[in-house]
Amino acid sequence: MTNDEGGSIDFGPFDVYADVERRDAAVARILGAAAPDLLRRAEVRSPVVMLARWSAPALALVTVIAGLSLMTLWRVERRAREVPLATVTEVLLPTPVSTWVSEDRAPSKSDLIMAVEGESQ
Amino acid sequence: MERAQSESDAHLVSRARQGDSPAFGELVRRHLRSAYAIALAALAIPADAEDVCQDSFIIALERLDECRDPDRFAAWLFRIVRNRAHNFRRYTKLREGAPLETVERADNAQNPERDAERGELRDRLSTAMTGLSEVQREVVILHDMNGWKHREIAALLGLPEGTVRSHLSYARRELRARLGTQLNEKD
Repeated sequence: MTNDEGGSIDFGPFDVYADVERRDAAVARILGAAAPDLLRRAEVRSPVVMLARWSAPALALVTVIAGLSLMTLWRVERRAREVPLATVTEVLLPTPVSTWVSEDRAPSKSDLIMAVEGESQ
Repeated sequence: MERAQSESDAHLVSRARQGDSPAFGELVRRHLRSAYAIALAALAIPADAEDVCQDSFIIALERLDECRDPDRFAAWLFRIVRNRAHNFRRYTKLREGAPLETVERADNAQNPERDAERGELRDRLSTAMTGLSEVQREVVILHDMNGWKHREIAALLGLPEGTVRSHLSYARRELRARLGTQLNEKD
């Protein structure tokens, strides 16, 4: 099927990398050009760098959340301080109860009766 | 060194992906000649083939994570070399069969007579090669310069083995006809 007519052709003059020195020089050139990429790959795989890359965004997120939380707490606390106790008692308690609460005294029997009657009404 | 030679391509690829320079160096050393042969067949100019070949290794490293089957790293690399060579040709608008450039050899000063003889053969071979198509050049260079088997060339070029044999036979016959009786024969 194959007619090779005398065997293979000598391509020796084209075979530049048959010369070991030339081949080694080419390998060194390629490795030199590849060095930045290889370094980047080595850094990416380093546990310290991986941890740093993972932790940086996580730490930033935690900082933002903590900031928002502190700000919310501060605003809530400030608002609570601005509302007088009398207002709260007036809003939340029935009038007879708020009376003896604001006067800071124990309720009498008549106070209790009034309070119960007021609730039932 | 022995350890490196016994390591599979897949293992070397895995190490190179992690930035292991010696592993990548071994991959380069292992496949440099074949990659060069493929680039030479496509470009027909040794100096350009060397450049393309070396660039291809850098591109291969950049895309190493895209190599899905590291056991077949060589086939993947050679596809990069061929594509790169074809792009280079398109870019430089080289004509098919342009005269081959003189190859500067490192041992020029060591044996002037022998080198002169090789230079003459190289020039004659260069001229003779221009009469072949790219695929014929690929087949004859891969087979006769790099010692690839028919089935390996067929797999790389996506051709039936019979076609590879046919191209090889035709290329050798053409080269001999052009070179006449001064051709050195290995067999």
